[in-house]
Amino acid sequence: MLDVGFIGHVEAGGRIPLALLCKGSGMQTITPSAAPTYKVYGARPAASGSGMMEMASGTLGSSDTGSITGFRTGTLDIDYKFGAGSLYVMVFSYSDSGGSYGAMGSFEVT
Amino acid sequence: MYLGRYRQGEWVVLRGQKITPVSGSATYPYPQYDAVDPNRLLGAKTHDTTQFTGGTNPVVQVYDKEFNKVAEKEMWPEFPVKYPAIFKASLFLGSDIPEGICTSITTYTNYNRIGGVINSQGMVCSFEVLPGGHASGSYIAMHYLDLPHAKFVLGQHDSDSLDFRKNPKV
Repeated sequence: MLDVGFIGHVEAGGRIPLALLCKGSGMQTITPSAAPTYKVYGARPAASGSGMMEMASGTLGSSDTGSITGFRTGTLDIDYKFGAGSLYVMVFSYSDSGGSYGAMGSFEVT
Repeated sequence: MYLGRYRQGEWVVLRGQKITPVSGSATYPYPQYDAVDPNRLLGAKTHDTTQFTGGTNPVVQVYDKEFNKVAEKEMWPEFPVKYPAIFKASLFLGSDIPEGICTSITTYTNYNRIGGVINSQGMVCSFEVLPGGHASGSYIAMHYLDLPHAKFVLGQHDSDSLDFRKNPKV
């Protein structure tokens, strides 16, 4: 799985830019067969158990940004569900004729 | 890779490493930059890809938080003799780079010896431009001049721009 890594800090109520360079086997850039999807996970509130819970989901762009093959971008609105001072993890998914791939990233709400 | 937080007027160093996949199960050692401290070069690690030298230099494009392209630069080898596959470009964060999270994407194409395309590769990084700072950078030199009609201060920024201040005498 690719490592998008830490994306940055964003204020509650703001927007965070999401960028993914889709890569297939051998780390070569590919054109995904459909727009990449993502899911955002955060820590479950202590009152409702432990572990992670899904906070948001969406899709990145269906066409390449900047005419760069496989470079798909989008933005995520950080609404009231996201608590300040918390770290969130996101998982990207995409596929092409060669298989299905994934990538992980994270960001912090300040 | 996250490159850190900067203010306008500072420089951010963008790096890229040309690699290419290899067939079979062999692994190849080569150094890479630390994911936690992107300015620190780690010793040789083992990968299922190998460094690729030759061909064209990588190009890095920088996008602002709305994904408008705000900069594009060609990278140059950082250690041409010892690590010829490691490239870098320095980007000055002037007034053309807005606040917020910026995304840099480094792309390059590997060619074989007769010019045929082997593959295309790339890497995405992010960094943050914080409010504050000075879009012209820091002073690296100042000269004070006291003339009969006014006092002058001439400053030079590290962005290679000049700052001229005048205080007239009445």
